[in-house]
Amino acid sequence: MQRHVRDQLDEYLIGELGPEAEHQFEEHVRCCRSCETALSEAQSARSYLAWLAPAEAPPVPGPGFYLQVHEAIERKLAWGWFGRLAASLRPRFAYPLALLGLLFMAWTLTFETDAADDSIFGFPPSEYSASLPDEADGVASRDLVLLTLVDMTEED
Amino acid sequence: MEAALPVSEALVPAGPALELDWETSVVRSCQKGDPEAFRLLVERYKGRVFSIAYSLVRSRADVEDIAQQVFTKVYFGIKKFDYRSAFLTWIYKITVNECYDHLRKQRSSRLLCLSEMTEEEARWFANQETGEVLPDRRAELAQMASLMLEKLPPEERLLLLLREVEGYSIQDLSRLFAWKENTVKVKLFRARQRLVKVARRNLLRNGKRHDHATSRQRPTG
Repeated sequence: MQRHVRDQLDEYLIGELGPEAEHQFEEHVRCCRSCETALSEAQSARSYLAWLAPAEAPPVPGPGFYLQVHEAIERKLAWGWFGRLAASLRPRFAYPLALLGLLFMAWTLTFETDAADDSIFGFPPSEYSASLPDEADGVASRDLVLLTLVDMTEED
Repeated sequence: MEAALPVSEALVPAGPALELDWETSVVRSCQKGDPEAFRLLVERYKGRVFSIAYSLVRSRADVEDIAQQVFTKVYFGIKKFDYRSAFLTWIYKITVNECYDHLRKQRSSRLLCLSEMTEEEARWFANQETGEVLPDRRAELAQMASLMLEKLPPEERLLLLLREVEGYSIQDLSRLFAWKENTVKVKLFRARQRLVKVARRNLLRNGKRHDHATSRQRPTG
């Protein structure tokens, strides 16, 4: 048996083999199962892809096409580094990244605040008393705030 | 960026070797930030981008948007281009990816098209009896072919498109991808094999779905 002829498939399919080589190719394919399968698969693939060849001519870019590209680039540049990053990302990466960002934000919201008993609205005494003139005033002000809160809840 | 000027045809050489030299020098200038070099690249390759995008999406209105997006990506990503293959191959990769991103956005209608394919149409599809198919249906069958092509790895997909749709020779592909001719042939062989497997699986599934639907409609007794 002759050597396999798969390397001549492309030339055969487009009719570039000479008459003698074509005859030898066909003779081989008739008695070689694997080359016959290869030829039949190549012909099928060509016939599927033939649907992609448009029956009509493709559209021609207009004379103002470069200016449109130029304007699109200017718009992206106006967005600064974020625009450049977004332009270089494909949507398949951009959407999962945005989703990850949202999940991260949601996760940070679940953190428990480590507030002490005498804190006001989650601020520890060291923070709110630092802005007050002295310790006595600080205690008085804190008590005032607490009393007001108690009154508010009673009114409700 | 500067305003557009007409492209000097003298700057676009004819022979493949000269063309590669021209391409390399223009791409290097563009990587250094020369706006005129970028304009030359757009003017040089816009026709090819339009052509391959139209083969895949079949919508004149969408092709221009896709091409615009492609060249915007080329502008922002050109510094990453590493000369491992021809610049045109890189542009083609971006174009094909952009087309499939666009087609994915229309996925629901395209899946409908797949499910609506009758056994007879599946036979047309497989046997390429294009004469019997109406132009609208032909466009849908073309979309089905691009859907099948989507299942292939990007490199094989591009190789098949350039060979079978754009009509590049083995020598052209060898130059574009910087591979030996035998490598191109082997990769084409594998890509076709994979496409046929995908197509058979899809057509078989459609045939079964169609048989199931007709058996349910058939009156009993």
